[in-house]
Amino acid sequence: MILTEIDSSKIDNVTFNWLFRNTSIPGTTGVLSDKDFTYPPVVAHIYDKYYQLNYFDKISKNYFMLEKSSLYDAVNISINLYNADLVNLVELSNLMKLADNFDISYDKLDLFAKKSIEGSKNIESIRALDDLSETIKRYIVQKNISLKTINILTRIDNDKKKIITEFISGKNPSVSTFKKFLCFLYDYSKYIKINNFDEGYFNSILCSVNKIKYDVINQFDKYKKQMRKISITNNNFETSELSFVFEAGDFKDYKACIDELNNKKDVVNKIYKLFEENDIC
Amino acid sequence: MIFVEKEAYGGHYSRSFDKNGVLYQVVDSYRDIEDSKENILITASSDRYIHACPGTKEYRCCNYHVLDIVHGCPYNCSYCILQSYLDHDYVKVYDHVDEIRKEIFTLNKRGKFRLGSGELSDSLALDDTLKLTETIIPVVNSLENIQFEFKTKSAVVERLFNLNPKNIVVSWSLNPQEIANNEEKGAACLESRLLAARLCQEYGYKISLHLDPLIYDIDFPNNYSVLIEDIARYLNEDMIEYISVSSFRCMPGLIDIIRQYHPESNLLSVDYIKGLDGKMRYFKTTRVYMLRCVINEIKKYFNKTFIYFCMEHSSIWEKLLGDDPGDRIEFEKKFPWNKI
Repeated sequence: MILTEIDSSKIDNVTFNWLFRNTSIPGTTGVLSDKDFTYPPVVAHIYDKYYQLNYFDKISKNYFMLEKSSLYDAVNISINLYNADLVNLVELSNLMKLADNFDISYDKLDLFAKKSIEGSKNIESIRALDDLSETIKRYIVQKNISLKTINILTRIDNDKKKIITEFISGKNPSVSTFKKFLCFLYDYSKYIKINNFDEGYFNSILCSVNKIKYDVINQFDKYKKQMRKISITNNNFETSELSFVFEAGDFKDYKACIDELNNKKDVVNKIYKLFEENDIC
Repeated sequence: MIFVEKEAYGGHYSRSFDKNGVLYQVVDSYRDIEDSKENILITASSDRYIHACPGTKEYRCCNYHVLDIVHGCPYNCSYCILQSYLDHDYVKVYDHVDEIRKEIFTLNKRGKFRLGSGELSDSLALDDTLKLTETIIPVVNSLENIQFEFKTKSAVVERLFNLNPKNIVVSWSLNPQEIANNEEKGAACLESRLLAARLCQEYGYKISLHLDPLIYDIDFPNNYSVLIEDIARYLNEDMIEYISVSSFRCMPGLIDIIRQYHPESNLLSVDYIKGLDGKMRYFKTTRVYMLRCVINEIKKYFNKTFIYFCMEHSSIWEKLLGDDPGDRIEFEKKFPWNKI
């Protein structure tokens, strides 16, 4: 590698830019401030073209030059110029696209071997990340979404992907809520006739497809709400056993709870009646 | 394709294959074969072959015993637990036939048992190749305490017609054809299964039926009513030993597998509950509805046959079949085999 002066207008600083750093982790952005800009960028000279391999936003007078390097070397060096351990799934997808563009095999890149990405389904899922919206990509990277969840996400029909973008923008969901929502979109896709996020609509699908269950649960919840101090729980309706839970900080509290238990006997009676009518008992 | 581990070469199966002109390839280990349902591997490794069916205390279990000689199945049913239970797709067959025979003899000495080979494999799907019926049936015929069940979704029954049906039950897992089309890829069609069952009955075999797993959809009552009508048209009640009924349930991890490998499955668009044993099940009201529909239909045609639920709650037993069968030992006594 030699330090040389190159006219920056002759350098392609877009093609190799595979970075999609998690901006929420300090020091991993790949977008450097001037004070971070210690060394000149690295450029690879391939097929009479100059490709910038790092500091993609930076224009410099001097560059480190990789003379007559192969595409594999150039990509591997570009990866190694950043912390290869921090390469995320979106960046893997970008690297695959980069490899595809140059007609080289992604699986010969050191990083793919190192990360042990195997199986055609996993590979296809990573490749498909490229088609997702910026919002979804950013969420995947920030929340470190697993490949298992990505496998569900990328198999959801393209016309439903807008729903996911809106869901993320509107709710900034936890990872488990995100996975649950993806599973819902995937599992109930034949019932979903809209392409935008509408929580009420999705709930109505869940309740209508599982009508027997939700008729019981909704009625049970209505009865439960009639108790103010006593919380009532059940073991997923597998048996008719109910637990009545209350907390009392002093005798006055305790008496109020006992009074509620006594005064709301009819509510409990209605719950057991509901159970009887619905074969829970 | 059949593969024989180097250490199993010269054993029961390779000798049988040589004798019958069956082609096979000798390999060092499973690592040398493609992990595919189309491949059979004869292994020299050994195991304990007979186990009590792993029930749970929360749901009623019948003390059935299983003989696991074969691990894996050529069929591709969406709901199959083997997808998460086994770490391979190929069909692994244990070569230690003498050990297997010994274990059956030992079980016979312990008392009366119902034993079957349909837990980790389909009992008959590969019988043309493995000829396990010829290995097991003569042993069972010679004993008084073992009733052996071959459980299948195939129509591979020819070999049974050269064997003695004494103490043998041939059973079929059945679902309406529409459901089988979607959920039981590779298995024989309903008509072939019923025809095979009829032929077995005519030869003298006792038959049993497993309407398990019941799968819910909007046409549930009609689909299962037609199925049971079909069964009644094909089979003679006097030769039916028992009918088991149960709805779909599974360990939670299986749902992800179904999502990945069977995206068309009707099992996905269901909001299951986690049962008392940690398995995903239909909501109890839905389950009772399904079981009640099916039991009522069965009773229209089969009045005398012993019907039981596999892994259901005592409250459902009481509601639909009139009593709680009790723990394993008590439950077992209800089977015709244990009443002889």
